[in-house]
Amino acid sequence: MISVAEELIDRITAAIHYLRVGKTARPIDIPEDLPDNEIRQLITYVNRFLVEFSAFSEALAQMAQGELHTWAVASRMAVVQSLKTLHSNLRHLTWKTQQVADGDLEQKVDFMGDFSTAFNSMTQQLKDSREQLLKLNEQLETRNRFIRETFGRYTSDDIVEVLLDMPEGLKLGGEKRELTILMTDLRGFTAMVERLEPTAVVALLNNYLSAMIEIIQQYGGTIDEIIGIVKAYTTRVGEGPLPTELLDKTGEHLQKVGHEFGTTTSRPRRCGWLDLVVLKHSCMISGITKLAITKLDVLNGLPEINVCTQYLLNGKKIDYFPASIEDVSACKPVYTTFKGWTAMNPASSKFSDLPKEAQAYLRFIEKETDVPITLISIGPGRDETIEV
Amino acid sequence: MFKEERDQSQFTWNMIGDIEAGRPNLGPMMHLAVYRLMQFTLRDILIRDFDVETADRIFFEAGKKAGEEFCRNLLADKEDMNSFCAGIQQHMKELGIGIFRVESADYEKGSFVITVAEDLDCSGIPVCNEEICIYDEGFIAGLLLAYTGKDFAVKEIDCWGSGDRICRFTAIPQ
Repeated sequence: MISVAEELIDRITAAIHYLRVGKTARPIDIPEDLPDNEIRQLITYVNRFLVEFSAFSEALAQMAQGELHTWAVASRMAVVQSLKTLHSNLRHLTWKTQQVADGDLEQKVDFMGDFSTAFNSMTQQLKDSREQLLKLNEQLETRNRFIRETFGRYTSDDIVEVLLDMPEGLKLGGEKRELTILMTDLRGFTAMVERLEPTAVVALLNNYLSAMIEIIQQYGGTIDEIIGIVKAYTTRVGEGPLPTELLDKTGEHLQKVGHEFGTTTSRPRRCGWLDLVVLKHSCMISGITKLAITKLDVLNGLPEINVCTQYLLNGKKIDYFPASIEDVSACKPVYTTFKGWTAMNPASSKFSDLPKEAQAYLRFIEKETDVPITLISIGPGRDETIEV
Repeated sequence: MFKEERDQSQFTWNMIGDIEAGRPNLGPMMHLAVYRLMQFTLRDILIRDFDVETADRIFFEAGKKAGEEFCRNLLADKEDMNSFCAGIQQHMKELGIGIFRVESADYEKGSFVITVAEDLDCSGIPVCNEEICIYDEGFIAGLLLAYTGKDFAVKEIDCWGSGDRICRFTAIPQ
């Protein structure tokens, strides 16, 4: 029989009790004089169990708090091995979830019971939903593109975007709104133009229009067209080059019939054939989208009508407006000649009412400038205007 | 083909043969015990005639060759590391090699912690305080070499043989 000190039995009992009630059980001190027998072996095993159980408990508590970075339990106990497998699986699931979060929906989890089923079902659902969303988005893009293209012909991109964001704005029936129409005039424009070179006038107009456009857009306005107003022939006030100037009877005709005299000074304006080189240049730099041709009736009765399509500069034909004033002065016009028309019905209300020769002349202007004509005036009266 | 003397590997994938034609009745599968019978008897004789280190080196290099060929023949279409890992997982499951799981991956450093549960080589063997999946170490190193072009140091840190219930490997580029 082995005799055991009662105190040793108490210590073992206390250690087991502490474990049962959730307290930390410290290893039992083994008396030095305890013989090397089954009791010493029992206490050694109990102590080893307490150390491994303590490490196991700590690892379990860390896992319960979601800390999965490390594993530092050295034990072959089955319960510890199961926990280690759980730890490993949780780390794997964390990695898998990170891949899904990064957009990889091909990830699957194998052999983890209900969790595998739930996870794989979730990724499949996400994948299906994403594909559905992409499909719907594609359809929406197609519809939006159609709306943009359709409405974009009549209104600005900003308004199209508003309509797309608030489709209820598309309801039929219109809406009563208070509107402000702003008419602006450039004070002293004629006198100013007399003093400036044509290039300076163009620059000034561009600055003016850019500022106006910015203000219009700033206050929610929309610009659907910039209409360039041009006479059916050319006039100029003051000195400076005018390549198509007519110093003959035709010039006098234009001056007289067109009442081309300065409003302030009564000086006669210099007159000439329409200069498409200048007009194309103006359309390009001003962003003109439509043309209004005025004073077409002034050309009535002229047997032939010339229109300048190119310049002859230093023996070479050019179809651009030269940058230097010296070169413009040296330019000679190259004309395309049209047959004139004798008379025009002042009651003409549509394009087809105009003489065929006048129609041909106007179509040529459109073709050369690549800008459609929207208005044609055939007399000084308000109603002598044709909308094209 | 199989028995020529050689200084360099002459293994090719077609050596595996047409299993479907060759085993119309028994099919491609066999009992795992037969695989282990071959591996452990082979290991036994290698150690007897050479030593443990030589046996381990041979198993590692054979596994590495198998991993490279496995990657080239079954995983060549994988466009990124994620789909590569998913492909390994799928093939290892379908072929009954083991349940491959990535525990962590640092793509910048190129280092991985990988586990293989129910591993072909060791799951269920008697605990012997030894990590014995040397062939697996080579296999994983071969997979990574073929896919990334880099040599990896693959080390088994947990094994059924050493008392764990899964095999855990670290893979670090060399």
